[in-house]
Amino acid sequence: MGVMAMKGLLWKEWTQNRWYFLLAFLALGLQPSWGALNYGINQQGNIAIAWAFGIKQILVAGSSAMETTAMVVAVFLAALMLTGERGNGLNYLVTTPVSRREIIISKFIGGSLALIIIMFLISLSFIVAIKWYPAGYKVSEVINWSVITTLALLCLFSLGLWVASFTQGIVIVTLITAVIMALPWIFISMATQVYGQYYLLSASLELKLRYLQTYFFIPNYISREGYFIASSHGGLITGGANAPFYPLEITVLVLISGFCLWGAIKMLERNPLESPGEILLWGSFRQIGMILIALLNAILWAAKIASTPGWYVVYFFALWLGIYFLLYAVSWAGGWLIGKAGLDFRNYRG
Amino acid sequence: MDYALQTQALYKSFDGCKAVDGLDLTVPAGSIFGLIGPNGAGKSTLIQMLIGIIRPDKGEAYILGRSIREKDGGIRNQVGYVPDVPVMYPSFSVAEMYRLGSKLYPYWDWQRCRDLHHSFDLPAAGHIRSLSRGQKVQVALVMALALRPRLLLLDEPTAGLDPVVRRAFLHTIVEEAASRGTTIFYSTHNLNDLEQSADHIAAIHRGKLLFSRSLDELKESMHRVQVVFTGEPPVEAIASLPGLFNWQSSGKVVIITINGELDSIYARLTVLGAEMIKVMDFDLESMFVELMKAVGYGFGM
Repeated sequence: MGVMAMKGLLWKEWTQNRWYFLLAFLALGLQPSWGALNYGINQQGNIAIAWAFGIKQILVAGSSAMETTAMVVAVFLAALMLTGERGNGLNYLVTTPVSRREIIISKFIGGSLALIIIMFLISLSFIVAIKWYPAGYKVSEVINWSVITTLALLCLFSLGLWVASFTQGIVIVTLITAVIMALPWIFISMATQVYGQYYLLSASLELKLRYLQTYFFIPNYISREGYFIASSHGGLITGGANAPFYPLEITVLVLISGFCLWGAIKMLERNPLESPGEILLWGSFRQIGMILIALLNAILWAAKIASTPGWYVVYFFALWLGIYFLLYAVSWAGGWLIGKAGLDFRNYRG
Repeated sequence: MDYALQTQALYKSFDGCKAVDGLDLTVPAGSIFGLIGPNGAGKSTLIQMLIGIIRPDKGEAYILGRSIREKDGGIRNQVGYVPDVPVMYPSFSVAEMYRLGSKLYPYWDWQRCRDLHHSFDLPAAGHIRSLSRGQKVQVALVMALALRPRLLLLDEPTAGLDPVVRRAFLHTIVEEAASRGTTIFYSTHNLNDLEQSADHIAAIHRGKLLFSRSLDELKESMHRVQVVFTGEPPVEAIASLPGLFNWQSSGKVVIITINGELDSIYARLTVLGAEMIKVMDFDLESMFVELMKAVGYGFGM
């Protein structure tokens, strides 16, 4: 990999996206700073650490506005940095002496550095604040939260980059990223439900499945909701809270990031750029969407009508095919109607 | 012979429609090579494949001796590209675009960049989005020449430019080829421009190569002659003349467009009873029209 090319590409990313990075910093820093400022203005109650309640909620309870914003910002940033360039800058860049691998890696480094610096500055402000004022949180909590949240944001950023490498449109990238992010959670939920319909689901197996759900659903690392595993057996918290095991969490997040980055490189290397919105690795994007929708529907509907596991398998495959062909027919008819109305310009070439 | 560019059975289709269909083409190093063809012939697709924007489905192509399938971007170290509508970063200033070029191209020549920038009288501080199409083409040309190219790929760059800018553009690329030996591969619909600048020409239609030869050879081999016969023209014999592209008659006068050596054409027509043979002016544009008519692209002309 050319050092010169990489320096040039990183300079380009900075010059092009610096205002987006600043906006991201402001968006992420808004809630914690507003919470503290609001206390300063209104002097809520007489508790000395009241100003830090908002920060404590971010660090421990999760599900704060700041963290939700951070997740959206990470995906938006990836979409902006790659799909936002399609049709203009990216088409220029591929004609220069840089490889597509270098293009994606520079975007990954640029975006990751921005997220790391933003998270570092916010975490630093939390730590500096408790040196001046009494607070209800500790430095170690800030560090743990900062490391895991930053890595989870990098995961979402690289997942967004991967999705942006084969499709176009910032909103589309955000939506598809959300769907892909939720897929492991959806599959495990469905599998648990279907399995429980025909066989006895033991508490230990259910717990294992929920651990899997926790570790493969990235927002859980940020919101912390997945750490409190309630069993369906009486709705009790099984074995207490699932305390964070940082080495495993860090390993999983790094692996997911690496996998998504590798996927983005491979996709962009094979994507010819002339048909944005197409997954050219495995056929059209529409085909994959239809196969996936048919699959999810088949899993659920087969469980509703099959009385035994054997029939479940039969109904599952029959429904999968049936729903797929139905969607295909609807899609074909839609395409035909659009073509008939003379609205289809996809194949137009000047 | 040393080639700057070579394609071997290059093929690309879009949704089953063949854009480039088994194209074999060689471009001699140091030449100004014009690529002509009707709309949708595959010219832009070919150039976009060569520069790396789109991937060929089949076949192979080499630029400056390296395969375009190489993933390493170094293959484009000394290849400049100017499309009809240059794509750049709209939020960048012209100076920032130059700076980006200097950071990506290893042989970037700042002095040449400044000289060309001043000669085109371009604004340095203006954003790319605020430039006119002609100015964007000029910025793209400045960048393409400042990287000290050995090969320049130009995809209808003068389409839509005003005559003054177009002339300046042509002058610059001809000077580049003459002074530095840069190979210019140039697709255009403006055949007058090509006639003034190119030394080789290739024509493609429906993605296939119709011919590729030097401009001198082309001019020496294609002729339009006016023939006056003593009696009724022998239409069947005329229609079966070797190398015939097109003919039309009006009484005893027949105008023939034909490919071949002039002496043998004279000899054949004399045998058929020609009383008078006159070689007419035949410019490149007229040749192109006749060639396209011969392959069924004439719109009833």
